[in-house]
Amino acid sequence: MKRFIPFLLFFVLIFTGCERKYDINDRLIVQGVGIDYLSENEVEVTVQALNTETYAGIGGTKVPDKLVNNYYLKGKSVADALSKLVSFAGREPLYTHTRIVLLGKTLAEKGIDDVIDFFSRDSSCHASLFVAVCDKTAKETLSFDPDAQSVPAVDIENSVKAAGVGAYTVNVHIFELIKMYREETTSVFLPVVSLIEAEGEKAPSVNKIALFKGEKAVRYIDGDSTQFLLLFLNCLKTGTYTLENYGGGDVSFDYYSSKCKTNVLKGENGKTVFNVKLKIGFDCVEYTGKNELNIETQNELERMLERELSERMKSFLYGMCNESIDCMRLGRILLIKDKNVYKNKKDDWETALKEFEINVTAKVNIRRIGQESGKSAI
Amino acid sequence: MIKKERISFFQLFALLYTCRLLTVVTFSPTLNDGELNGNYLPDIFFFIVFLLLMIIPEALFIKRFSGFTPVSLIKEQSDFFSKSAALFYSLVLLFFASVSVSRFYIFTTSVIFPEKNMSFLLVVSILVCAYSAFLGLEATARGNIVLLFIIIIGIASILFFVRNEMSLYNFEPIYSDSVGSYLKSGFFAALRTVEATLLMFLVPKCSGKAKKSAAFWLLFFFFSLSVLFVFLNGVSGVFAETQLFPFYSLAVIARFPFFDRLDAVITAVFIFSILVKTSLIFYVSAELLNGVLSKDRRVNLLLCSALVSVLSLVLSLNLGVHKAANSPYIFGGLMLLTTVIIPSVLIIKFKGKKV
Amino acid sequence: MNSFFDRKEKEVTRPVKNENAVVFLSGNYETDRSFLKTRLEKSSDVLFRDFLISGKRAMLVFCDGLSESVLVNEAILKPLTNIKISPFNNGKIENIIAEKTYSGTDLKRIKNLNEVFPLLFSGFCILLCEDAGEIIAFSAQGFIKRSVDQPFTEVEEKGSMESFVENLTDNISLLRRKLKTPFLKAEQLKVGSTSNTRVCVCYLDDRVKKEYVDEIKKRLEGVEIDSLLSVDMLTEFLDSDRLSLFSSVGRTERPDTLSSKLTEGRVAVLADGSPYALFVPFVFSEHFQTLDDYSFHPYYSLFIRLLRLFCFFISVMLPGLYVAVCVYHQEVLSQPLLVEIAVQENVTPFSITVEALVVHLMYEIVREAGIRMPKAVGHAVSIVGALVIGEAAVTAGIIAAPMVIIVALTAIGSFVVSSLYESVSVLRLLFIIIGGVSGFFGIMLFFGLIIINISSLNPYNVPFSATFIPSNIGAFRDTFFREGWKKLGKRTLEINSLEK
Repeated sequence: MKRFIPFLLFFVLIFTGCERKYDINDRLIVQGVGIDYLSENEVEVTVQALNTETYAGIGGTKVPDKLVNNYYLKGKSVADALSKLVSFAGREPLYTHTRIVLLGKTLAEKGIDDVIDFFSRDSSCHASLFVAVCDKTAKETLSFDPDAQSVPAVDIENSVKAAGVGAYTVNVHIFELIKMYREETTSVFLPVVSLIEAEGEKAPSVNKIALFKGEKAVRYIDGDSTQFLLLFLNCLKTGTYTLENYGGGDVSFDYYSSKCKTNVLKGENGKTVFNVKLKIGFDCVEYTGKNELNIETQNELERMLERELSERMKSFLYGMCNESIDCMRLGRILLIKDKNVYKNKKDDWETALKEFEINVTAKVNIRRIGQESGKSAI
Repeated sequence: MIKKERISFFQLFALLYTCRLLTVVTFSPTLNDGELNGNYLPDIFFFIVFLLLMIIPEALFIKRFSGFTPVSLIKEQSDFFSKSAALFYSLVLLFFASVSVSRFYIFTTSVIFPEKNMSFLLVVSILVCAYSAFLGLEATARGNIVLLFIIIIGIASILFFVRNEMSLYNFEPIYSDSVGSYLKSGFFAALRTVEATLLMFLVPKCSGKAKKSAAFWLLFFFFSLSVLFVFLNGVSGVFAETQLFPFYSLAVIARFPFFDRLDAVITAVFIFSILVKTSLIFYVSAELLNGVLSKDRRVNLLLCSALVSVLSLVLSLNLGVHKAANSPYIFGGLMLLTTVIIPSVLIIKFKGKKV
Repeated sequence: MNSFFDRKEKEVTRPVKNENAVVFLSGNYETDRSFLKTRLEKSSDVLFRDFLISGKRAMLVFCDGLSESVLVNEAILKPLTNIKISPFNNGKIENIIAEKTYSGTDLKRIKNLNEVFPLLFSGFCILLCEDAGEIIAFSAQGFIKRSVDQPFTEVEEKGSMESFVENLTDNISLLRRKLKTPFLKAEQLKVGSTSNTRVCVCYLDDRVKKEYVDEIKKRLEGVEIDSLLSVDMLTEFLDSDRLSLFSSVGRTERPDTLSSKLTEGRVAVLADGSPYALFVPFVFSEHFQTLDDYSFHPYYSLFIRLLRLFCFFISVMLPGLYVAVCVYHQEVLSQPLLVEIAVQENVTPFSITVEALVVHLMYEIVREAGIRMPKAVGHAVSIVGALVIGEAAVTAGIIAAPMVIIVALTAIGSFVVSSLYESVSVLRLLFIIIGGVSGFFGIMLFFGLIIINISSLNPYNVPFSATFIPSNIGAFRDTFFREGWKKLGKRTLEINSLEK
């Protein structure tokens, strides 16, 4: 019997391998998924996958004509639509390398609850894949360049990533989206991808964000306002701020550091007061005016920036509160700082937001004025 | 040249640490009947307190009847009751093992291989654990040190690569809930500590400095548990509540420069810890069944494997069945019975008697 | 089932006979002479020389080719034929012969006729004399033997260029030159009922644990084997009783390595006809140590030992991990790597598991051919191997390029720790099969099992995984990190202190 055991084990192990399993070359590598709302109980899912088929021939392999294949699937839900992908593509899809999920504009405005539910349960997708809203349909955005030599989903992902660095928009991972959505008081925000046309070619661009109330997108804000959102959330890593109308020109600054601290106090009339303290570090990079920028004028600039930043931040925060959009996560801050007040207010958060008082103070430090201003030596 | 099997206390507590680590990393808010909340630090603190309280009868038993296990002590009075006690303890331990194995089976069928039939592989892995148990306690203890080292490196690397995603907004203030809720969490967590039951049967096989090793591993456990939950809450926040296995999802979020996902690391952690835990339980059960069912250790181990295979497949039929088995009433009740009640009864029964 | 196989085995084999039954001298010269003549008949290389020693009949038996003819003539035959023994001399003739005639160094006196043959075929000259109560064997070895050469398998950058040879006496002398101490003992035994191979158990008496020596001698005396042609045949007898892919018996062909092991209280076993030595107890971490580590700086030694450990893991696990990742866990790979592998594997006709097995088997074939082939065709094999596997197979789309890279890495990695090659090559194939069947799950489970299996080996009560576990901090001075010689040289490791 001892002599048989290795052979028995060997054959048993070999035959268990006859189950469903897929080699790497049998998989459809999905790069992008776009979801559009068509009608009640109908969604359209666009799946963009790499075309890895190559043909061995005399003299080597043949490179495929198209880099990607787009599949357009309709179904009652996202899961239903995706289940049809195998029959279209002839391969088992691999979602683990999906770069971006795009939500069509109508879907975003209709409600993204079902989509979030699908991605909460799915274990194959990478939790840090990016999510964005399109300003048109996801189908159109994802397949914007059918003959591209680069993968459109990757291009879109790169724009979302890069734009996030520049402080004009955010980049949101799928797990962050689920987290924001599940938090009781927080409003979801997602970057908006639009296609801009230049010299007959389309390219993805991200320069605004969509704000949600519950599961529906209700508002879109531009890069300037987004900067303040990022500042408040301490997510602003780099970016440029322009101080207008100084000495007949504009002064542009690069952020080298930014910090925002929020405290919660009880006001005189029992109102909840949020004290926001901004601490920002700037380096001057450009000045288009006539004044001389030097160490003496530095203080003046700092005061001007402090005033402007405080006002704009306050205006932004009040604007969001008045529209009952808590993308700034004031609810979480209140929970951490004063949980009793939070417990009282969380059930009617929309009303509570409108009642809050917000004070903003800013402290600016200009580290570098840069080189001497460009006065001609002649 | 062959001496009796003995391990050091350091190795013993390392084994128990690995077993408990499995319970921690396979923690599931859905299956554990409790919310993942911000009260992790008080939870852990009270868990340790309740655990220490629960093992007081055991500690007194070990001190009073040094070198004896409950079964060998009962044998002094009655052979029949000793065999019954041995059978009872081994069935309880095998039930605990089945719950852990079924949790692991749910993990593999939900996350790693959702389309594959894992039953055969489950049976093979149980046989592997039985073989490890057959190799003896020393082998398992020594192997555990290497595997634990790899486990710690794996978990540390996941936490390292996920640190950038940490945000203060994801935390909830400590004591945001009532005192009762974290007392309850701590107590229920202590009730799921199988290791306390194993301790009684393994201490007679140990030598060395018990107190020093116990203090070290308890502190290390408290520290590692706190770090794990800090990262889990700090990175995932509310997202973790939506996941069946939050620690697995944490590994999915981590990005390694060369590899895309580190969930293979957490899978390895799960596999190593289930191997150690199941081998240890099999070893103790086989020792208990020695003389009850068969004198041949191999036969006892095969019987244990068969029982655990069947039971774990039954317990993983659906989440409801598993949750019921893992409930504080069944699981915790058995644990209290074996760790608190029986040793207390034996201490009272044998009070004043010489053994 | 077992009895069926046993029965079939018995039909084609016979039990090992102990040919060394005791046959004492009969006292009758003619009887003893004819016994020897009958036993040695039809052996054209065995020469018989009948002559008289002081009027008494005597016969000298020696083996042409094993005994030195000049020595036999001058040092043995000549003095014996010239000896004059007085008839009034009451001393035994064998004493007179032994004390007064032979001027050589080694002389044996035996009474058992069956003991004649091992000595005869070791180059001794056998003298049978009328009225002598013993047979005298004179040392006259003059057989052709290989001179001390460079080591073939354990190449050191900075170490000596000497290795063991086939002759046992020469090997012991090589050891003696390294350890000039009277505590170096070399006890001889005979193993093999037909071959009667001389086996030597060497140890340093002042530091070895007596139980080790006794245990080894007991095991060697219990060896039932027909002919011992290589010392490696004794590995299984000296090894741990537990089933494992790793051997817990050390092996070396270098006298300097063996000497260092003996100074740590180990016991060495050498066999005549084998240029290798075995030593026990042996621990797993020693596979990653070489003598060069003690010549380099400690920081470099640390680096190189860790590199060897890394190469070991690479050579064992990399193909299996590659198969597991490509078949079940594609999410682990980064995008560019995933796409590259997918494109390459798309072309091949085989599944990844089969491809991995085929390539590794081809590599083993080329490697085996490289060892066994005549030197003259060496170039042809290497060209065919490189071209067939590396170039043509990839171009034709039979094998993917990533697989060739994996094989190359594992092959090179396995030669870094060549002492583990047997285990590595089997484990590698097992990991490929397990990876292809059950993915990461099976690989990690099997890996855990191997760790526990290694931990379970306790030959001679020393854990095979010692210095790692049980963690012996004192032994860490020379596990991966090697302390400087100023500290290391002051104290020597005692292997028995690692006992559990």
